[in-house]
Amino acid sequence: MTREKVVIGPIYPALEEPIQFNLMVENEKIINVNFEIGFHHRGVEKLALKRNIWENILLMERICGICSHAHTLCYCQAIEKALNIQVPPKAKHIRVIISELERIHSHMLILGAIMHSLNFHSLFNDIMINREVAMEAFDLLCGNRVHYGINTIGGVRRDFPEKPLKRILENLEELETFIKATIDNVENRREFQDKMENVGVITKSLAKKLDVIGPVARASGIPFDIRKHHPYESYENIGFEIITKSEGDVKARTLIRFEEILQSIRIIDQAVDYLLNEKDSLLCSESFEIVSSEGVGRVEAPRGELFYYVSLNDFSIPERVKMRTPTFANIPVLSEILIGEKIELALGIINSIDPCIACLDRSLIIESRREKNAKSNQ
Amino acid sequence: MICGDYMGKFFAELQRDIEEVSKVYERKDREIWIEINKDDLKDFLRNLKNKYDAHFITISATDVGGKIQLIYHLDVNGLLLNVKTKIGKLLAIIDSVSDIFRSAEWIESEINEMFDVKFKGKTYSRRFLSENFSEGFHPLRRGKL
Repeated sequence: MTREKVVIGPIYPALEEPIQFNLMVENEKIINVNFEIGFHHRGVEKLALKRNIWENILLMERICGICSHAHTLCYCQAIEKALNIQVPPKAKHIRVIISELERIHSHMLILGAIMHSLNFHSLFNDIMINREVAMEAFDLLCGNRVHYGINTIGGVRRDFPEKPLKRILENLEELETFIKATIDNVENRREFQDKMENVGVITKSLAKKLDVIGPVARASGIPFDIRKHHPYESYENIGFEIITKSEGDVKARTLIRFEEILQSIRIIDQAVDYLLNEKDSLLCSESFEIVSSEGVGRVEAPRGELFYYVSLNDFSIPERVKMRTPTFANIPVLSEILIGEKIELALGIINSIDPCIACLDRSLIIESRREKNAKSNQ
Repeated sequence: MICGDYMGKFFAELQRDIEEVSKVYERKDREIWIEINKDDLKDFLRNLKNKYDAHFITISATDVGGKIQLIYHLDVNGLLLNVKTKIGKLLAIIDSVSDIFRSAEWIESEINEMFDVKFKGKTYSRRFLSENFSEGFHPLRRGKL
């Protein structure tokens, strides 16, 4: 019987971001897991206390490159609730369009990563090529592929013209055809079943016990989605379904993301339709007074519920900004589901919960060498 | 009045439970903010978990001058419940809720590192701050940097 320690990360080609997994392996099966985090820390919660509420929007946008819109949306929502600011309906729909485009590109990125880590390279290529539909949409609407700069406190910063919106709808139709064909492939072909079925199973009771959220919870049969559960922006008036599956394995978590892309396309269709027929051009309600108050924001980011708590005093610099990112809630489940699995499937299982280390490590502080030297000289 | 006709019976029951432990509460849309004594906190949260299957979101800690304010955020059937409590700063100790909500383990460790709050019944391993920091360094606690 051979027992070995396998270390994955912190810098490893198949991991998108730095995290270290120490896996104890016996006869190619994982028997113990522990992981180290904190390689990516920037001290965002502390930095937010040194900037005013508008400057913080830029900071929040840079917490994560994949769900940058979700972070600013949630932050603005917390301040809008604290100060009782009403967002105009047109701005709400613009926020919804960007949120759903972000969900499409985030889901396709992690689906590509899952396929890559399970050695389905041609499907990885196809997914990444088709992801360009969402990236091109951002380029057309915001002039940028990563940080969109759409949100501001009280609304949005720009309107979308008719021509690019129509072009995006045409492109999304093609994407829908690709996604439907891929779902069919993943559901029925043998090679996918071998590597995904009954692998990394999160049962419903385990999901409840660890309070997992987002697509990971929905793949284990928990219909928890903030867009329906605690509606925000214009989701209350838009028709879509919460997709759930009961299996809780890697295959369920993969399929659920494909099916959520179809729902996102459905939401974008309705929101674009509203924008094309809307005459009111108000994008932002700018007049508000900063008073001592507190508010929370809840947004269904691509990975699950994103939560912000903001406490304000009478000045424009906040008293406290606290964020709970979806990966912070989801990653502890890995130490349960990796045990008993084959080492070759470990990366697929890790990627199937869609870990975002930039979000996870947001709150930690780096002490610069200069400060450290100054302290030691005192 | 917390309850309206919105999910009527559930709200009425929750309101009774809240009034038993707290006189200070406020309702905004789908949010309830309550203030509670730190000694009643654990039993109240256990009751929420057992009775309503509450979903734990996170704990927000803030240094408010002489005290540390902790807000426990929970989701109860789509209603956001924010349970506030304050603890003294010099002897910042509170019961850990990680035996009720296992997902509270990480956030309690983070608050311990950031604010020097001790959670009773919990052992800590350094996880969030880098090893380069000295033992008594708590970045978000005021007056100790």
